[in-house]
Amino acid sequence: MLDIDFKSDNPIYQQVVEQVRAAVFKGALSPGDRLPAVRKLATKLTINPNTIQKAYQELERQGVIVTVRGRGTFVAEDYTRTADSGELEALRAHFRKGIIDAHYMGLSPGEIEELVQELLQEHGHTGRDESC
Amino acid sequence: MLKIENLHKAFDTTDVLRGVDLQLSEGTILGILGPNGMGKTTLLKCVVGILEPDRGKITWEGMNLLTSVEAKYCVGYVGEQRNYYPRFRVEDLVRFYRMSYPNWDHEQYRRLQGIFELPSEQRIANLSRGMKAQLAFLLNLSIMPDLLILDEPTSGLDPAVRKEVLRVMVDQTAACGTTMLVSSNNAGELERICDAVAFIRDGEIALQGPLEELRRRFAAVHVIFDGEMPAEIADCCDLLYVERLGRMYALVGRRPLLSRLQAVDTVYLEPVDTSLEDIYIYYMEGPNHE
Repeated sequence: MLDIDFKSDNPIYQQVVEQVRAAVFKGALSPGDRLPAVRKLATKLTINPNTIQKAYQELERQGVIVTVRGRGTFVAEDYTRTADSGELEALRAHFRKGIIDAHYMGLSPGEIEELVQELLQEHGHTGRDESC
Repeated sequence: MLKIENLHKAFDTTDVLRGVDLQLSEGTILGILGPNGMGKTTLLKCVVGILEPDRGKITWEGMNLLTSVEAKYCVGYVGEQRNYYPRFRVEDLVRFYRMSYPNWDHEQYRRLQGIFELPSEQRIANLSRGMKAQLAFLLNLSIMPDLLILDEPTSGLDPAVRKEVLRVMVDQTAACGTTMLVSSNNAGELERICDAVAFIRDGEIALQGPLEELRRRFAAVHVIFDGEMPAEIADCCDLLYVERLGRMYALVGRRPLLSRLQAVDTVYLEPVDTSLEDIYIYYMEGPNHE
């Protein structure tokens, strides 16, 4: 399920964080689903368990997952987190870059909007309550 | 915690270790990388107590590893040479270990034997090198060590077994919090399983730290200059490695190299990923290393 690129400059724990988030967003992991135990995932991917632990801690800090003592780690039921201004700024920069790329590929503003809608739909997130 | 302080060891007139300092906290895996003949094995042998250091101190949880019998019970060692009694059968050796180590876990042994498939009625003398390596690994994990010293544990093993060995190491650390000190010439392997790595060169620790931190300390770029490479780049102390293909240079250096490059005229500048292996090669063996 997770595909780690050991050559990447992106730290391994960060890759785990991003891929779990992507899996939740795409619906491959649903709220309440149990994540593999640290030991199991570490062994499966042959990765240092402390790295997995660090990734889980980060995911928990972000509110994506919750750990229930003695029961395991689960995808959070209600994801309610407000991004801080720094994160929002980083996101804007991200989008801005994408929009510039799109512009130079010859896409009109309308087409860019359409593309964003399409991507949101792909993950079944359109029309959902804004607070989700 | 494993604490190695100012460790010195000489053979005849050759100083092999010249003041090694290392610390390793419980439940972590430290990888040691270094060219052959630079003291990796000597260091590990000193830690286990096979060699007596000339100077310096090695303690595990405050116990002196050289003298404490109690400490020896909880330390496993998989060395490069596996000098087991050749006339012993595998099962005899297992019994010998079982009697010697109070924490021997037979369940664990059975489980691992299922993975590595060693014939227990075979005599040691008839085992191949790779089989002996697996046997040493299996025995030393079955004594349930708190500290496990591994000297090139995967060398001479086929890729499938190699992968199993790494998997078992990771699993053991996750399950039992086993601390491991492992030497290897395979940077790719260490990168996966280690918390931190140390480069050893000329009997000293040349570089050490958590992997991510080491990576952050170096940078690799592809760059095209407006003309020749400016002298302030070519001569700067942060530059470790240069390769040229037409107008394009591949440079590797310490992180400040990036800002130095941004300060000069470039036609093209693209940072590229650096693996531990890259860092190792450029840092230890690069044409213009320190």
